[in-house]
Amino acid sequence: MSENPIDRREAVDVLLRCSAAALTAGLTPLLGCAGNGSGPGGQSFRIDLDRVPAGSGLTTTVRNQLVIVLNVDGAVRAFSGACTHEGCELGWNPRQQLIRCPCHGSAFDPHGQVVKGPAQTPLPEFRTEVRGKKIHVRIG
Amino acid sequence: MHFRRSTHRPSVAALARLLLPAALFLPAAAIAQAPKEYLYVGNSLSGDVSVIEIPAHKVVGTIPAALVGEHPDDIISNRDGTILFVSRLDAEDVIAINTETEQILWKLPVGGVPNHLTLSADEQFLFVPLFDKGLLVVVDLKTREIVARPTVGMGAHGTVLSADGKSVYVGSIGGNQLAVVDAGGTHEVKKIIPLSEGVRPFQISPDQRYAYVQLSKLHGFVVVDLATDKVVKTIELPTFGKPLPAPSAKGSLFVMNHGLGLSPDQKYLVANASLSGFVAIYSHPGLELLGTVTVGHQPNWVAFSKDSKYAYVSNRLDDTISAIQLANHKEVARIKVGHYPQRMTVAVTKRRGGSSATGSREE
Repeated sequence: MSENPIDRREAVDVLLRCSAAALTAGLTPLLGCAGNGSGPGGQSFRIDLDRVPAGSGLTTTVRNQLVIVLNVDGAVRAFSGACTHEGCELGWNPRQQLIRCPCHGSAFDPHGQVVKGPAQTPLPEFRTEVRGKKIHVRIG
Repeated sequence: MHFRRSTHRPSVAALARLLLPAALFLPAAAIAQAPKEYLYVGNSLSGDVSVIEIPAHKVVGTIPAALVGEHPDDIISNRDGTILFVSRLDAEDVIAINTETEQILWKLPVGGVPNHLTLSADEQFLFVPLFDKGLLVVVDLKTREIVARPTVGMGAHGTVLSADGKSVYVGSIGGNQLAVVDAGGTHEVKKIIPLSEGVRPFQISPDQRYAYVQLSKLHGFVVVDLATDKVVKTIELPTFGKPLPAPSAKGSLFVMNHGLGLSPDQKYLVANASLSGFVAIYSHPGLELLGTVTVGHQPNWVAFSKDSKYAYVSNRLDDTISAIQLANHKEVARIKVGHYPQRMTVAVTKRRGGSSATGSREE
């Protein structure tokens, strides 16, 4: 899934925020300069909260970056969606409540920590924020 | 000579009049179809199995994630096409599926992360390499018990049965080796063939003189002389003047190529260039490059139609299957399947199982 581009209204809003950020040097917008774009604060995107119901996970691609978004134990988190072993795309196993790799079986807990190899290193986590019915994720 | 029709036997027309209305009221699923050839595609991330009719190259059904799930890895069929065996990474088990009903027959925990499956020649034993344990689990399918667990090397991944049925070869990614296991009586390791890198998909020539082996970072494959256990040739795939993708911690770049298939008629060896998005078709046994075919993103596996007319390649990042006509090296169809298609198998069967919409990742 490639996240939907921002709509026109939000594009204007983003433009205003980016302009404001440029004018107030150093005060970068919390989530970067574009709904799905890049800027001083890195790239960001948003996703409807109802697409990630409680107990579930969703893998998506934003500008060639795999991202897995979880809604587990009352917290929304986002991690790199690429396995730290060989880079395979990760999936969510709802029965196990684990992030699993479909290539060699690595497993990560909902905090991105390795619970089963061959992966050795945890998943990089991205900053997330829930605003209303949207999850905002900043990557990069 | 005159033939007299018996008055006690209904005519064909009378039979048809009798049976046709009843047949019309039977649910479609209850009417077993004539045997047809199907490609079964394990979609690792959507957890389902796409069923593609050959040679129509259309998805005609899906064995749903509710039945399979748990990140299926390999999928193979028995010789008469009645059963599919699927290794499931998350559940660490193997399931058997009836191809006619598309229902699960049984599940068997195997005690580790199962990878690529192989059946013994008499189909009594199922060989299951455990990636995380470095073992080859041998399952007796009559009793459904694990009867042996020889050590074959960490990262046990691929398995291939020799043409004479006496040996099963097991490639290991971590151990950089091929282990040769007695496939019949003892199930013991007969010898180890060391290689320079992790062993990815491989094939054994039908005369058992050579192994064709993809290695983790080789853009091609090596030819191993099985009499001396030495690499005697390295076949490099074309680069078309472009630099090779460099192995990197970002993205799926630790394995250059994944997918090497020998056609049933043994005339073609098809090698995936996974990071370059094409397949190379070689003559066999001559290993002359016959042509290349551009396919989708990250081709991962190779399967063939029974008549060796078509090769099928799973493009796992595109959620598609490329159907390639081997005689003229043309892609004749690209078929949308579930998410992250990897392993595939071909079976001729009478399927009457229900089908559901193919699960897929959002685009």
